[in-house]
Order: sequence, then structure tokens, then C-alpha cells
Amino acid sequence: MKEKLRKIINGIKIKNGDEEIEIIRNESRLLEDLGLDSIDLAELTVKIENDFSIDVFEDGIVSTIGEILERLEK
Amino acid sequence: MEKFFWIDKKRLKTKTYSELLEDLSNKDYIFNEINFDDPYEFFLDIIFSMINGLQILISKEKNPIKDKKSIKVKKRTFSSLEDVFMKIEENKKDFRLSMFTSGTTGKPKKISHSFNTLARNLKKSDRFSDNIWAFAYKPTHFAGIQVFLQGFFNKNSFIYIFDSNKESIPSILLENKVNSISATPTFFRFILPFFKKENRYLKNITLGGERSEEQLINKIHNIFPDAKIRNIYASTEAGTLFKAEGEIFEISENIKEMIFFTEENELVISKDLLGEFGYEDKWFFTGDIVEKIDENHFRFLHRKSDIINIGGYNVSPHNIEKYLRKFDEILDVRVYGKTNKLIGNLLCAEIKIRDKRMKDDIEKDIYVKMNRDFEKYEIPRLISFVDEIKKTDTGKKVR
Repeated sequence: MKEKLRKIINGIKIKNGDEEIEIIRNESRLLEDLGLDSIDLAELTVKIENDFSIDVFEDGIVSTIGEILERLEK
Repeated sequence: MEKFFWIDKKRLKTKTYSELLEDLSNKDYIFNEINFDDPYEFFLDIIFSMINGLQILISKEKNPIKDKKSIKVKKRTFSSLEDVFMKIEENKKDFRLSMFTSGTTGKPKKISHSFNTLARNLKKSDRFSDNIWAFAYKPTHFAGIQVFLQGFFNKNSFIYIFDSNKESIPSILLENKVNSISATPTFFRFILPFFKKENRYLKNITLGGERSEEQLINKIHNIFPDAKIRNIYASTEAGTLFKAEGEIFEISENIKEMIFFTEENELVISKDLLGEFGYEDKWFFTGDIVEKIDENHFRFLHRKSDIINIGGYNVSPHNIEKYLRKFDEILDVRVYGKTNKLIGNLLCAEIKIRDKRMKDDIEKDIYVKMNRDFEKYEIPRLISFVDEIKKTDTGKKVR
């Protein structure tokens, strides 16, 4: 699941013309460590919802990869 | 301790008001087109052009004009801020600040603002003198310039947080005892999760640029219990017009005669309230549909026009469609907004191409070119390649 998430994030990174991320960790922060911004996060929510049918931001904004995985595994 | 004018932790820049005066006294030229690599320099340019009654243009970041010229001005020494204000008063009639707005029909419009339109809602008073602002707009955003003028003319301190690490914002606000902040609802949606406890320093919160939902206002209130929360309606064409506490906007006496509502409740404003952009009619139809509460109060419902609000920035889908249609492989395109909890709308596109097998290459090409030519919020984030573009019965594209 983490690998799938990395692929989604890299899809966003490529669109922005940014470098791909090789490793993501549970503690990786979406904004600061992975360099995503508000528009990227909005796209990420839609992509995750398409792939996993879960709205990870339903109860508010999540800030790390670990928090996303936690909500996906609920 | 001397009063700070500008604190920008990210760029390791702090300036007191004396240092600002020194920088203004040492300055003897400006470019006719400005942008912001460094927000302090950007605002220094704006103050400098007000002082000298100059006409400058805020360029589109991705499309700077090619004939950028420097304007030479004789140096003046300023020993106090009052000197600066006096010079601005003297020359403000010649000052013009131009910027681009997304046109409703497809072509970006250049709008030129006089000092009076920019400063219409500016309030100068001793009771504002202790305001400490967290500056949370992109400096080139129209609302950002208005916040700046309000703070500057009241000799306030600014803490620049627009591109700060969001996680650090709660402590930046506390350390600097920030008591005022004006931002888009999207900005608040992103910073609120990092507040782990109440902040009672903050007294004034202004939300603008897009609609704010009640749930967000409640969350803001829980974290900043002592803050008064206001909504503001401003457009790049007209500047600040209405303010609201909660969702209900009030029409103040001074502009009452200069606005009206059409039968379908569209807000219409007089040309006298607008910046200059070659608009010939006496009235400007804003495209904002409202619900009237009583003679002096209303609530915004939705936009009549196709303009899509992406996290506080207006985007004209026609502009983007026109651009994409220029690609050889693209036969037809529809750009639309998909409702999104985080940023209001996510920009999406449906594209019909000659050969569907080419879709990956075309998509790649689109992003390379759009990243070069557009602001990020103007670039569709989800592209689907379709066989036919959806049209309404009258042949208009569905948005």
C-alpha cells in the first residue's frame, strides 16, 4: 500500500516537473518532507479516493504518510 | 526596542522601520514591472512607487513582459515615516499599480488601480497602531496588497508566513505575539491542524478570496477564541467592497448608491468603484449571485460566470481551453472545477485527441508547457482523455 502511495505521489511530482521520491517513510511529512502544496494535496485526496474508495481527509487534514496509511487500513 | 517592519524567517530577513527608511533613502530606480522573489523588496518597490507617483505593473510570474525598463528617480532622504506619508500624499494622484485578472470571457485583463481604489477601505487610527500582522497572502494577490497598505499606514509589524513551513506557524504566531491575520480560507484549512492548543493573542481574523464554510469558522473560533472573525468581499476589479461577520455581508452607506442587484440577484457595481481597465459601461456585472436578507444585508450564493475559484485564486476555464486547443493533437477540450474540501475546487480537464494511443506523451507535453506558461493553480490537475466532450442542449460545455 505504501508503494502504491509513493507511485501516486510521484505522479504528482512528475507533473510539477519535480524530482521523484525514492523512499517514503511513515514519518515523512507531506508538506515539508515531500514538498507537496495545497493543490498537490487536493489532487492526492482525489487519487487516493479513486484507488482506495476512502476519503483520507474526511476528518481533517492529515500531515504524514503514516497518518494516511492508518486511515486506509482502518 | 525599535519597532519591526518586516520579519521573514525563511529568507532570514528582518527590517526595522529605520532600516526601511534607510533602504528607501538609498533607492534611486525601479523597474516598470515588478514581481516578488523577495516579498520585502516587492513591497519596498510599491512604497517607492507611491512616494514617487510612478506607474508600475505586477507581472504574471510565468509571463514577464519583455520590455522591462528601469525608471531612474532622484534619491530622497527620509528621516521619519511621516516624511514618507507626506510624499505619498503629494504624489499619490500619479501612482498606478497594474495587475492582471482572469477575464470572464477568456482574455486576461490588465487592471490599473489608483491609490484611491487600493486604499478605499484603509483605516488609519491609533487603535490599530499595535497591530502585528501575520502576512499570509501571496504578495502579488490583490488582497495581500490591501493588507499590506492597511498595516503599513498604521506603522504595523509584518511577519511573513505565506511560504513558511506550516508546522512552524503556531509557534511563529506566538513568538511574535501576532494579533492580526488576513488569509484565504484555504490557508486556514492547511494551518489549523498544526495548532495543538488555543492562541489568545490573535484578535482580528479576516477571511477573503473565496467562500468560507461555517465549519471552518467554528474551527478557527475554537483555536483563536478571542479573535473577531470577518469575511471580506474584494475583487481584483474593485478592491474591497463589503465586510461581514459570519456569512452576512453589509452594504455600507458610502457605497450604497453605487451598487444594485439584478432581478436574478447578481451583484452589479458602479464604474466609480472600479480600477481602470478600459471598461466603458457605467455598471460592472460581477457574476456573483447573492441572497438578499434585507435592504442592507446579503449572503453570497455562487458565481454566475464560469470562473472557478481554486484556493482563493480565480481561474477562467476559457483561457486554459484556448491554450490547450493550440496543441496539434488536441481536437477538443473542456476545463471544469471539481468540488474539493481542501481548496474549494480542483481544476480538471477532459480532452479529446486524434490518437488515444498517444495520451501519455500528450499529457507529458501538456504539463511541460503549462508549467512554463501558467501559474500552478491554472493547470488542470486531473486530465481524462475522452471520446466526446459533454455539451448541454444548447451546445455549451458542461462545467
